[in-house]
Amino acid sequence: MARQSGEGRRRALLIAPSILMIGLFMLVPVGIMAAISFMERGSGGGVNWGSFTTEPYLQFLFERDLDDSLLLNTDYLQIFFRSIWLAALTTALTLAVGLPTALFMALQPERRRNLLIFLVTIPFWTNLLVRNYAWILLLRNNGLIDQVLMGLGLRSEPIGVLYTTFSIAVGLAYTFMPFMVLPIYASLEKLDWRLVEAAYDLGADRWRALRRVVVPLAMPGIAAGCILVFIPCLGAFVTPELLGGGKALMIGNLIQSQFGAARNWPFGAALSMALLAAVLLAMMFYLWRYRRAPGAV
Amino acid sequence: MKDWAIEARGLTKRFGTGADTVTALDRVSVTIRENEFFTLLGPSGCGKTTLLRLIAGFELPSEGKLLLHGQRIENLPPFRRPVNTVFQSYALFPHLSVLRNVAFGPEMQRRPKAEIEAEARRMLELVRLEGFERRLPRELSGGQQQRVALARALAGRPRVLLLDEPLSALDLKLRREMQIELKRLQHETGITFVFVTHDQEEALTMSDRIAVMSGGRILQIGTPTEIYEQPTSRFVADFIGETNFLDAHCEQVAEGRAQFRLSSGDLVQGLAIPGLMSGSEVTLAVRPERLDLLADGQPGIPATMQDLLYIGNDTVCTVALADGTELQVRVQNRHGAIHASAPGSAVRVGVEPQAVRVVGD
Repeated sequence: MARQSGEGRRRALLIAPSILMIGLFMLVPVGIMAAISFMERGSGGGVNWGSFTTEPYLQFLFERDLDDSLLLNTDYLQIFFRSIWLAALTTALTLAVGLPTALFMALQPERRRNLLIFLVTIPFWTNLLVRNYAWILLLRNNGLIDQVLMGLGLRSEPIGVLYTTFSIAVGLAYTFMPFMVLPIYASLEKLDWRLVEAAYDLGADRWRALRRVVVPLAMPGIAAGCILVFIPCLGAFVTPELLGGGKALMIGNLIQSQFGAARNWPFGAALSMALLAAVLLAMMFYLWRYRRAPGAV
Repeated sequence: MKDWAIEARGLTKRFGTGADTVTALDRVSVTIRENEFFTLLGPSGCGKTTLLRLIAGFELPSEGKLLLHGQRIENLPPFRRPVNTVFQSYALFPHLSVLRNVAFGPEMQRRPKAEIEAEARRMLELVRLEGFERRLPRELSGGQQQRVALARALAGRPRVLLLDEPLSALDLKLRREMQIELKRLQHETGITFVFVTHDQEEALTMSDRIAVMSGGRILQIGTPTEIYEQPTSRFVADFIGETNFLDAHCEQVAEGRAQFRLSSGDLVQGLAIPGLMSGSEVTLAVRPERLDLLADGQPGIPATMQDLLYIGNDTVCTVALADGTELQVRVQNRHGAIHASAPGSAVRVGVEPQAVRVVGD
């Protein structure tokens, strides 16, 4: 009995550092943000400590008319949904490229796989800004891609893809690709390829074996990859700024500007809380689906 | 010709390139009849699984032809061959229910929905797994998983069913049950079964015909009785059952009989095989249970009792001939342990001519 509790204490000690980390560096800041989101804005930035108001949340959905009545204002909601759309598009792009990549890697001989994992992580080594500027050079009018296409005679004018939602998605997809490839690779690497053989044996061609056996069994990795890409994309602000040319405001840019130029911390905090709530809802949906999914049918 | 389910001609499979080339299958030719329970028997690495994988289509042959009911199939992908496999590891889809596993084949054949469901249920009934439709493979015992694997392979209505050591993971009692079950299924479905095993007893009890393989070649094809009673090579005689090998000199050959002089100097009578010439040095194979242990003074080869091993129904005696050559004699314990001559005592070994076979190397 004594040994048991000693064991338990030792285990508690093992986990103590991470609990301390999460408590100190996650829960406390989030708590501060939550508190700020209910305060009045200070005149020169910051907040009036101790005040209480729900105004920042009202500001998200409404604007005040001259007579102080609330009018529905969808500007911020639009930004919100545009960001969700961008994150979804980026996730779809990374999935479309990442799944075949991970499949290819998993099918390579053992020796070559480590090299490929290493290659996948190379983009991480370069500064985010440098990578984004590199994409600007590639995508801009008469940039490298245009020059190649026009040089080959495939197009007579620039494709004009820079500073669009698509160029933001491409830049984000590039940045977050490893987050998609590595979890999928991890689940494919564990896959029993004899199951694919069994599928072939029972009359499934390659496409159907992929769809009916490989993808369902790689689903934990695919789902993890999607979450790991979708969530940071939702709050991204550097890439939308640079590759979007600041034309389309994303939620990340909006939050950043509220803490910066607009000096409206409470509103920025309220937006962050809304974003956090959206992410948590998505996660809960995933967990709820996932607990039922395996073995359903 | 038409009733040949499978015909392999000069089938060769090499793995690797250059100096690392391994020939897993070396010019194998074999015909398997329709509705036959055909067994590929051999030690691991003999090429039996490679041959099975070539028939299934998981590997393509380096050389040779493969015909299924007269149609060339050696270059077809597995999903275009009317051949299904029961895998050694079962390879059940872990994310699908038992019913969906069994329905997988019919679904891939794009049969009508109602028919798929009915077929899957019929197959589960056939393997006696009604009521397990909604379970997941991991919720089943090994024997039940085995049955699902069988039902799944049969649901695609293959012309030929390939079974890759399907019983090796089961315990002895379950294995016996499944052996009977497999025979019943083959009888009821009328499908040609090609069965791979390294278990000689399993091969003998289940098969219509057996091909014994070694080193990528087929050494002998025959019924279980032929394989056991008339092995043509030392390997086959050794691999299947217990065998005494004796070096001998052929003294004379006449009318299907031959006389051999053993290294101990004793003479034995045996059956001649075609091409046997007097004066040649040969190897004789004699099954221990075909030898008799007699009291000293009776007709037979004089020997000395070395060792007795009581194994319940039988006693296995090791005796030594005049030159020290050891022989195993297996005696039934019909009257209690009456043969329990003490080690060191003189005995005689009775040899009937039908039991003595000349085998090649």
